[in-house]
Amino acid sequence: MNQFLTKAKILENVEVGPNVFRLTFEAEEVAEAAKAGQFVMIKTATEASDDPILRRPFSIHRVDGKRVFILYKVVGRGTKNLAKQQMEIDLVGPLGNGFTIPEEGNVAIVGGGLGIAPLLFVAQQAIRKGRKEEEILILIGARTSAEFPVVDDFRKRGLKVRTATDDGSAGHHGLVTELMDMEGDWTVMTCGPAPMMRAVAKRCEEKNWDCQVSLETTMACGMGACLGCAVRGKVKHEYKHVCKDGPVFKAGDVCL
Amino acid sequence: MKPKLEVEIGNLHLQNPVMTASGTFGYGREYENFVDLQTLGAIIVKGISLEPRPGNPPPRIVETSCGMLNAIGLENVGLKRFIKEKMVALRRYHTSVIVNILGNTIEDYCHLCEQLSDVNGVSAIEVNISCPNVKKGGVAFGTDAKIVYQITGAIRKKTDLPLIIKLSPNVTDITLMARAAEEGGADAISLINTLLGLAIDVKTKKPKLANVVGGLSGPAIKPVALRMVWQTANAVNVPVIGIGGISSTRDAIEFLLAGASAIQVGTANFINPAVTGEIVTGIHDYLRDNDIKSVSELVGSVILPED
Repeated sequence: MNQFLTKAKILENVEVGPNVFRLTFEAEEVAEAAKAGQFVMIKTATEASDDPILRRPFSIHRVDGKRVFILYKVVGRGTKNLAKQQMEIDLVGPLGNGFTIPEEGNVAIVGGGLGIAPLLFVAQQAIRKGRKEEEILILIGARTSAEFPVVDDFRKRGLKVRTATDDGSAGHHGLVTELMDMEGDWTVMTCGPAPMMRAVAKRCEEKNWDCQVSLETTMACGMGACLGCAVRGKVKHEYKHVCKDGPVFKAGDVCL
Repeated sequence: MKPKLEVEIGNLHLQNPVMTASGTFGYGREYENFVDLQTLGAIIVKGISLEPRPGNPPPRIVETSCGMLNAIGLENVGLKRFIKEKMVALRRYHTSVIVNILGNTIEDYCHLCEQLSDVNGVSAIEVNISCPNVKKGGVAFGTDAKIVYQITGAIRKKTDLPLIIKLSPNVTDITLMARAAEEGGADAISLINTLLGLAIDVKTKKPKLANVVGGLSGPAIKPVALRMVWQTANAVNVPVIGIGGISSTRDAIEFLLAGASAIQVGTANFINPAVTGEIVTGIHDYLRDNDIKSVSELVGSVILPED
């Protein structure tokens, strides 16, 4: 597997929504090796400090030539530090297993909140794999319309996008799972808050659709060494590791 | 002149004093994209038990100031799979492999030791005695000098491989444990294992780890580790291997000065997966720049104030 430890030049690190930033950096090897659903571990401590000590995992938002894009929300001291960086970042990646894009059939991409981050890359790779625009459906849920920073990036690619908000300020007033009323066979790929992914997985089970979920946990190493990122598997006393068994799992393989 | 990096830990010959601490380097190959494994002094693999262990429920780790707490629960593939899969892969590298072992009874440790002694490519055994002793009410083996002596002696009879006893710092006087291990027949002492700690989420009022308590590691514990290594090196005649928050060449040199004959890098592997290779080069450059012919000259050469 191609994984790299590298320092990458930051091309842009800008706020694209309330507390949501898009980081663009140049890392040719990472961009070439990356698959949709994989992640990178970024050091957020400044050169002069040991803190925060652990790298932070971020899913790859998309790649374009040598450029890699990350979409992140400022929530703690790591992301707060990251938002201030403008020169260079220290990263390891790409890590983990990505989404498996089927050879044929319809693909539904279901994102909730910032879970949308890795999904543009999924759409990008589905198109590259020969999927026609009409075979791809994007469903995005958020609390309010202000939390849709990248919806337009999907629309610009000619993709069909349907949105849902908890407060009704944009799209369907309700849950994103209520938009999953498609007919026929679908492969569903989802990323978002745990309750949302649980609901998506349940819906898929009812419809007998394939469902892939992308999970997030605290991580230390990101490469299967520390075993700190365990989640419960479906078998009792069996654990999966988000960094190397995931972050993308078949919905049926993990306890959501 | 090229400085000499080789060190002898009892009858174990290492090409340099830099090893990977058990539990922070997987089974070695996890890091092959980032470090040339053949440049390391030794790879110490994840602790192995007789049977596979699933580990603790999540959350298993939490970040703290300049450190982290972990309660992985000694998850490992078990002896059989380790020998059949992991050891086969590791043999392809010409690097010393030290197997860390753990158990809940003295018999567990003895079985592990016996079976590993016959495995091609195992250079030494490191014994984690911080595990709960089920026959003594779950108190860790490593917190009672009598039991440290007893377990070391029992294992000693089962192997001719170099035997390293890894000490827990969660004791009142670590030198007593070190002496007990030495008297029991240990070829070397490694220290420190993690310091027991706790973190609580003030919002939920619950512990941040599912296991409630966990082991603290990282730069936060380095001064404590360094002090214990210094005390231990002055208390025993066998070589001491320093562990605890080593993240850079400078940290490694500090431990050598304090009396460690070799060092292990732990949590720093998570932060910089190439750090072990960098420390090997760094020690070489330090010796060269300071006209020191050999690592062994450095060991224990801290200059104390005259009284």
